[in-house]
Amino acid sequence: MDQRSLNRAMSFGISDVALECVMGYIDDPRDREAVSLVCRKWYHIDAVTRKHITIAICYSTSPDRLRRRFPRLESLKLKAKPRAAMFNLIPEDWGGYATSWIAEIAESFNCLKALHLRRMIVTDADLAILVRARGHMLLSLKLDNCSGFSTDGLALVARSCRCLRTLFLEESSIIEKDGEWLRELALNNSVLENLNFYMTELKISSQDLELLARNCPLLISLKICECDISSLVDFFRAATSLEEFGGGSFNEQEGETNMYENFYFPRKLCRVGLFYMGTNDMHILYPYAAILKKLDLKYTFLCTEDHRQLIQQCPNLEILEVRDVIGDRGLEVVARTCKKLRRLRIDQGDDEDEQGGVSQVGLATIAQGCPELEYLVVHVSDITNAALEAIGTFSKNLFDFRLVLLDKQERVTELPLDNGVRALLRGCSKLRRFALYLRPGGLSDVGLGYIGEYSSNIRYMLLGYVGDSDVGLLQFSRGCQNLQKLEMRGCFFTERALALAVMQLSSLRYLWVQGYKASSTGSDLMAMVRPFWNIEFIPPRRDADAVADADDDDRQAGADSQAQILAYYSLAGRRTDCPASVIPLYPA
Amino acid sequence: MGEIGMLEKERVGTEEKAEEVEEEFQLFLKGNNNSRNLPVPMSDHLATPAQLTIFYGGEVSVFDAVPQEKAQAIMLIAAATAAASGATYNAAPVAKPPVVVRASTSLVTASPVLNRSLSLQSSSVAAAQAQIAGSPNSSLCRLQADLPIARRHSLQRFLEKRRDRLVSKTPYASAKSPDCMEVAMEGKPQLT
Repeated sequence: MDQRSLNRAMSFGISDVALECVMGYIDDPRDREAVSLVCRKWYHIDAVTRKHITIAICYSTSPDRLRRRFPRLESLKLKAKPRAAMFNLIPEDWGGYATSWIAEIAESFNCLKALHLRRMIVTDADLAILVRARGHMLLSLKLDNCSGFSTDGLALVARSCRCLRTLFLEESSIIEKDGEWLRELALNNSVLENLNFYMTELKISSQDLELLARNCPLLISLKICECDISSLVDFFRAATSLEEFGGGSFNEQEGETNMYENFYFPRKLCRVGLFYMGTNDMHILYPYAAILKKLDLKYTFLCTEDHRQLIQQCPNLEILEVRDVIGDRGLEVVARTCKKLRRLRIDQGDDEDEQGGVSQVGLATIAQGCPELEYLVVHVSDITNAALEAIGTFSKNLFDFRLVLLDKQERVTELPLDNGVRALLRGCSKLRRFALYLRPGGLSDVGLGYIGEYSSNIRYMLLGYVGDSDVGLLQFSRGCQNLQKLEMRGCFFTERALALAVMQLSSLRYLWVQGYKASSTGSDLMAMVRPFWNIEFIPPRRDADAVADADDDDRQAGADSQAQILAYYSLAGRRTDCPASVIPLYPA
Repeated sequence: MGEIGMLEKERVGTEEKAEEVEEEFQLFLKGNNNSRNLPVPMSDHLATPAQLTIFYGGEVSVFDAVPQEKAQAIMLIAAATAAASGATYNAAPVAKPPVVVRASTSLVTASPVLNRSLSLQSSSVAAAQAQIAGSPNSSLCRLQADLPIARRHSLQRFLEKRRDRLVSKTPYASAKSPDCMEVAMEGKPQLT
């Protein structure tokens, strides 16, 4: 009896108070998970001291369950729609409604200070409920790639959340109601540090921005939608703390070549991305080039030579984002100049310059010249094994590597990439995220087996057009011990092999597939039926749907009509809000 | 004729078969390579048997207490048969979902579900036709017609705006020009 009562106050000889203190220093979610499994006492202490939770897919649990386990949560990140939604592959009404979560937050989460919703549907009504309950304590609100709300909702947020340090709306689809949300923000807030409505289509006035700059002296980062740069002169003069600016736009009038002659950015500006910046505009950055740490040229009108001229002046660059117009010649300059480069993203452009397009030459040059690289995403037009081997040899700090082989060239110098991929995976031991998007013949079954064998630390993978047959997939699935999230496109393995592979991947908790060899009854997929594993099916789109969407300028005409499978672990059972285009297979 | 007969037999054997099916299902769950060691909530998975209504050849048949798995099996058979007869031009299998029964007492709900599954068979045949066999070139083209490399939405929008701007700036661009923007005009845009 005595022994038992003693155990209530002490756990393994450590008092509860001490335990709470110690656990406060443990932030990594995997460590926290381990801690919570030790015993009931430790589970409970973890539950009350956990500060942040990320829920990778909101349907894996329910608001109620979250509240029961982590009632004192201070920060929550919720994601919903599959990543493919950012590539126009997921029906808009797929799901991911924030309503029930926000209702629970308003009701029970009394300590919540930061909320991040990604790829979810949020309405003005949801925002109203949120700010009424939590507005007075919200420090950070991120509606990231969301839709369903309007500038009215934003105005409400602006008026109610006066402590907001961060308001992030990047890539969200926001209904414009010609409101005064920005003005409201400027008038009601004096502590704002980060404001982001990059890649939205909002209409704003530069006067409101200037007001914001004057009222929020701590403003460090501002990323906006299109707004002529020349009208921002007063804003830049007022925003003395600004370190990051993205957006604006250049609209050269005929004959006015000196529009940006006497243009001054704030002194500390070191992270920049300007829309539509052209050859004759880029001199605007020259005075700041030497201190630039981040440069986003994805939405500029620069040619290969321009990239060379600009980047050669930026020795302190740590983050660079470009389209493939930069070309191998541009990457030469990057490799020579940007020795501190940590992140490099090369996106797919149109055929914009004869010297554009990235090949194995540019890739190898970058690997050798930028040893600090942690994040490397490239869309290449050509590739060889040697280039991938170079990355394996030199890019020892690589954490996230994604390669997409474009279809610009019919013939690629060297395929399959089996040996190069093996060398890369063996050499880059810190790799946690990996994507390989090729074409038929790009990677054989042997190569796919290598990926399985040498991906012991990788948590997320996107595979496109890899492997020759089911043999490769089954070999792959015998490895990848830590693979949690798998996306596959165009691989055309059989349904049965997919199901078997899923059962073999011991850490897998999320699967997305588009393009596979279906069985005649569709029942082979049921081989992966198991408890708590939700399986959803998005059937091929009918011709009528594809034609209708062809009229919508924003969406790719004749978009993909291939079926999709989505599967994920869930404690919440089958979701109840599927639209007609999504069929839940299991649980039925 | 024969089909109705089959259904009648099914109904007669339903009660006997129901337990068998349950057993099979349980066995399936136990033999499952479930490395997570999760408890199996038996009662949740074997949903209470519900009423199954079948509209066939102008006749309506109602079956009470049909277990979910059995209903599913019936629907799979119906779907497969419909696909086999309706898709003679389609050599490769078209992706279809295993049809799911929603336990319900309403008469109308059964048929829309069936209809939907059947209409899915006749949807876009071009989908899911994996032509891995055949020459690399044609397979590349075909696969890319079916599943072109997807561009991120934000980048797609930018490139469209860029094309609009170039068209308005230099609508009559000449063939050869040192200016890189005009070169871009002439370059074939890789629309995917």
